[in-house]
Amino acid sequence: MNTQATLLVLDTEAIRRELAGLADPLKHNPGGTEVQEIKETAIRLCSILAHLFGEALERVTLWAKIDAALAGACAKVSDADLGRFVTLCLDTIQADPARAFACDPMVTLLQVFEVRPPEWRYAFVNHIASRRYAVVALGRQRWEQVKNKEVDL
Amino acid sequence: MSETYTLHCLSRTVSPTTHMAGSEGNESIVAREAVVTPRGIAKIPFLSGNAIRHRAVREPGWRWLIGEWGLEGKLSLPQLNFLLHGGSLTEGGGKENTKRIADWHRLFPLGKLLGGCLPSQILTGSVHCWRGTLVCEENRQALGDWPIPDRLRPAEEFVTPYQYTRGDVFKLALVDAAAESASNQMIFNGQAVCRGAAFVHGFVIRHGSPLELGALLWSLKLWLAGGGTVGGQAARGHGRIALSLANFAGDVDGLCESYKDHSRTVREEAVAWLAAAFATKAEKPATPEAKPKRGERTKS
Repeated sequence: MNTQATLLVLDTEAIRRELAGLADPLKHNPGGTEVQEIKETAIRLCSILAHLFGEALERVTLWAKIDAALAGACAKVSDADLGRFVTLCLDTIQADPARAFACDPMVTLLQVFEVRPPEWRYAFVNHIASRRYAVVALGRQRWEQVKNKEVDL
Repeated sequence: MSETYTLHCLSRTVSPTTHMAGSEGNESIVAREAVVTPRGIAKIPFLSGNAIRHRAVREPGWRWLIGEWGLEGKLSLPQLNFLLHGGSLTEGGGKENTKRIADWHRLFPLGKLLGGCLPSQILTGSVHCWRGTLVCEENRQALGDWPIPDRLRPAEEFVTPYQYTRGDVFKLALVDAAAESASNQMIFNGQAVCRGAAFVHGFVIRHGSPLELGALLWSLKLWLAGGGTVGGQAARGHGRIALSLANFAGDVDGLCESYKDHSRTVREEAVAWLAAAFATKAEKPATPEAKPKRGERTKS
């Protein structure tokens, strides 16, 4: 019998590191102000996706497609890469590339993502993953306000 | 001088773990225990102390001794049952043979830990195996001093389904009879605790000695070397566990070596003890003449 297996002895710090991976990322709380910013940014992303919704798709599927885009992006982005997150969303809604490249609000959003720390970006993905219905519902409300010229995109 | 030793263990699941308890419909379900949480009673997966005790200590520990003492193929079924499963009280008139108990404790540190049941005598064990407590939010209070994060995942996130197929013998007969191409495969499924989950548990040796501690540590090492599984479905790759000791200050290798040396030294005596404990009773000589039953005529 192979008896070479090692019986590891861990100190408190090593155990802390082992157990850190079991923390619930959906309950990450980066602080009150940041939470509000994450929430507003996610809603704003929804209204931008509505603005860039592909013409090849039926308009009546707008919010269902955006919901599917967010769900798919949450499942596929396992790190804090929000550029990939947005790209996956745009792919799903079949956004016209020329319109997307010229969309200033989206470019601004991507610039915001670039300067935010990884914790913030993780929290952004986790916020959408755990509250997708609320995010889409509020995103739809914001899109109506954009159409009525009550707020900027 | 005896001492009480407490080992705290952290076990990560390396493969889906199916320590099961019953079924719901066609689905096997993992063993769960009721836990009081701020949101009410929750049913949380756990590992039973009994399972850990058998798989991680008793089986590897005794198998090693059987091999080390050259007893393979030489033990009777009751002796094997005693060593590997604890034995059973099969003879009437149970007695307390203190000399036998004293020798058992001296010769078999592993036996003193686990206890057992000779045909006519129960030998108590001294080790307590704690249940494996899942590291999850519902178990926060039970996790006590473990350095856990502020927010843990809920238990249900660690429960995952599995599905396999197996040949259905009854269907196979029908398929052969009908010479059809219908499949005889039958789907079966169940729940498992997913890979990467963690359980905390422990062992307490009451009134023990370094030899018993060494026996426990050596058994755990053997168990890990043999794949370290707990629960069912190990044949399908389930139940692999990576066990670590938490803040253990002793010399693991030194304690194991002392125990191994002791076991080799007492081999002759230990084998003789086993033979004597399971020696079959001499049959009573038949009475010369049977007593007549009531109403039966006696020979005059």
